[in-house]
Amino acid sequence: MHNRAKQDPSLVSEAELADRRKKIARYCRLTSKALDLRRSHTNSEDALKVCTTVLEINPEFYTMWNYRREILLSFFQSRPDDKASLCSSELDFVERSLPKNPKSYNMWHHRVWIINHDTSDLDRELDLCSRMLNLDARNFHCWDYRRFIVKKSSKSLLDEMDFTTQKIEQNFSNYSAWHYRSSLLPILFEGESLQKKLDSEFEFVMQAFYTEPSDQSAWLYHRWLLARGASHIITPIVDPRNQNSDPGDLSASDSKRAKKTLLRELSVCAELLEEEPNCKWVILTTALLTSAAHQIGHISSEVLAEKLKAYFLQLKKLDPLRSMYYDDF
Amino acid sequence: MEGKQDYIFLKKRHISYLRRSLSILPSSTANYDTSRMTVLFFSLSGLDILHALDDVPEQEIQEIVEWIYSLQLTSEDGYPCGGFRGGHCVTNVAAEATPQDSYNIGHSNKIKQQTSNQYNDHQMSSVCQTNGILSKNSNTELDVRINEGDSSIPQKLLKMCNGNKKKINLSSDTNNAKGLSNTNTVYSKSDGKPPFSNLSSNQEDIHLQFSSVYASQSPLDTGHIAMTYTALASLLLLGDDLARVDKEAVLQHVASLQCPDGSFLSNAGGSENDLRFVYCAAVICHILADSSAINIDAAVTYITDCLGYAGALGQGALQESHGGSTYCGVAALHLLGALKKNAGNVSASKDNDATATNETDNATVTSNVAANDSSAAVAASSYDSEADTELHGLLSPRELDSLVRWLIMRQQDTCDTTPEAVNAREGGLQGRPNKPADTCYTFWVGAALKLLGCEHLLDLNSLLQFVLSTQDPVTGGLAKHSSSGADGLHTYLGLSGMAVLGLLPLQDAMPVDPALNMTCRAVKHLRDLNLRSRR
Repeated sequence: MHNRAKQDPSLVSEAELADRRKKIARYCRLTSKALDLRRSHTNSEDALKVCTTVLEINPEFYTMWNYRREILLSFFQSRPDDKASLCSSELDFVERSLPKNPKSYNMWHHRVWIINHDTSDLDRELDLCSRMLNLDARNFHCWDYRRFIVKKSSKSLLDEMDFTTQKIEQNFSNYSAWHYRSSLLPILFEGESLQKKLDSEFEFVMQAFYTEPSDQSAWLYHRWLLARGASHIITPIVDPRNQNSDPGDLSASDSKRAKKTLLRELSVCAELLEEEPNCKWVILTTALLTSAAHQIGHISSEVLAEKLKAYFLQLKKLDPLRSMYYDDF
Repeated sequence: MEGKQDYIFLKKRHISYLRRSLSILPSSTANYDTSRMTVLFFSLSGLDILHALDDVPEQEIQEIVEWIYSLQLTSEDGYPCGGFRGGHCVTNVAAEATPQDSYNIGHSNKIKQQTSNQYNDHQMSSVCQTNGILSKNSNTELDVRINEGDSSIPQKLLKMCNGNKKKINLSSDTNNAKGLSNTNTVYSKSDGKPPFSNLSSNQEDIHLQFSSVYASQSPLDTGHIAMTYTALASLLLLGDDLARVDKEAVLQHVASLQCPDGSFLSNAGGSENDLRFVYCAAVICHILADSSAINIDAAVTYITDCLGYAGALGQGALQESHGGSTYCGVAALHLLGALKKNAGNVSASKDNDATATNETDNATVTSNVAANDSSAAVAASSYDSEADTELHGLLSPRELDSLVRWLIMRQQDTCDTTPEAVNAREGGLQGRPNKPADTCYTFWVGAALKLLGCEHLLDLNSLLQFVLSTQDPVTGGLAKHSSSGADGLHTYLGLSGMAVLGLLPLQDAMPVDPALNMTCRAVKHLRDLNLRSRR
């Protein structure tokens, strides 16, 4: 249903209509054959073939997938030596159909099921993911499948981090890659090593937003980094009523580092603002950081008020769709 | 408005489109054979919003009601785990060699017998058409049946199909038929087991248990959680009193689909598990006024685990934030009484003056907001009653703030500039950053904001113009964007989104409850049924 180009029905020929009717008849025939087979508890090659044909026509027929899995399970039991080759041909089948149905929940789910039975060739799966992501870098089914394979294969998460770097360098607006990166970071690094890593992350994301300042992916990631690196300062700005983040809990060195990070980022953004005075994301982030600077006593309330007023007026002009939101500040 | 003309809302066209989709659909939608119930819901609810459901003849309404009930699995028929199917594709073994034959078998004969005395030929053909039975001179587009006719026949077929069926009992075997994969929780967190589950959270065990069920025969003929939800919703829209719903069986069906991580599967035969089905479960339990079937703590944990770094929700933990899943999560939290209204930072404003400062000479938008104040209040009261005084908000104010910010950033300030996108407009809502605007997110994103009390932060006027630019002036209906063809899903969600946000005058569109995705009128009908007091 999604995304079909407009079609003029009068352009459909008689021949095409006849062809369609034949297809429908065939589909109905095959479906009832499959159900008959299933009712007679038949788990044969023939039954598998019928399922295949039905699913090639209609991959959304989830009942057929379930029947298919039943047949496969019975084969795994009766012909255990064939299990690996059966799984491999299942993967072939899904792979053939995936390009036409890249967002089919059923397809990806079936693949997961097969891998849960046979994990012998996980590199093939990673390769599939890379190819599918080259076709559509935002296919979240594929990203999620990749996470599943990575877990199965105990692949190094640092390698995955590199994979996201690669994807981001190919295209800075690859939001999905940034997203994946954000989930890997806290798992790979903790405490002291996280803080160190954050510095290089800031470097990395800065390259992205300097290259494409109007792309939101990098800015969203940047904001998240700020929250991780200096949460006790950022949080109260975003939510003045949240009294939970108490700077008193932080060690002196952490607090110092957070301040340093903030001020550094503020100067980075302020610099960019001079080059890109009409980029809403730069202004928004600079506004946030200016408030943070006030929070740590770096600028006075008067300067803050003046700057914020200018920023938000500018934002309302540049981003009129969200002027209501800016009004609230 | 930069010299662009404002679009007109083509109400009558959409009504025709929706009425047609009640009986016939083009062959391009054949993949929806297993989800007919959802297609039906889109049509009925869409018509209701446009004040056109009352124009459907009573006879047809009754036939549709019968069709819906014919898809129910009841304990009386040997299904203690009940629910509704999406269509008769599995049970309808009468499909024969040719489409003509399949249409004529049984159904039409019986109906013809019943009706031949009452109707003349012309009426007969329209009755047959309603029932999806084609006359020989049928239009070439009538390729997929939506309404499969006489209700007694599917029952008979059911019994035929299930002659060999062993009675499904609630032993651990059946309950183990779920939770196949935890693709969503790669780095598994919770081990919380819902009360109805005997599943181990260890994936190896899950497979062994499921395999043993398959060795005997796993259920193929089962309810599907999304079909159950849309069946109940459709019945409400049609004014049914739900008296024939096997409530216990439905609740058992829902309970049996919950996974250890709190999410839900779609059907007992096996499927993926994610937020979509959590929402379905929440709505079903809300409609039946009984949430004992859900392990709420586990469900809520799953939902909050879906929160991403940018503030919104993905389909599962660690997944990319997405407008559809964000809606499912927010609405489910709301229905489960766990969403805190954001009354702080961002004013939950019914402030019409603010809207009036938008440079627009389209006075109808402001008056819509004003007019919809009272209807919004009605809408508010219809879902407030559940969430009420004990709002133990699970999302912190900061999380809510990030969520709202993410949602409003979905409004596009750039146009689709491809040559096919004739007269495309800016102001539409996208599902994720850097994706093109798409009509259906008018509902997903719009209703989520409405539930958070922040829908006024959108530029409602340009949103309206975007949605209207996706109308198909010939066939009626709405499309994903102005260069695509119209379809049921986008038509319905575009209409519903506009109705939730009060973008259309009341005489054109009834107000819609953002959590239940049906008109406030249907919700009132539900309240009047007072199901909580029924056994």
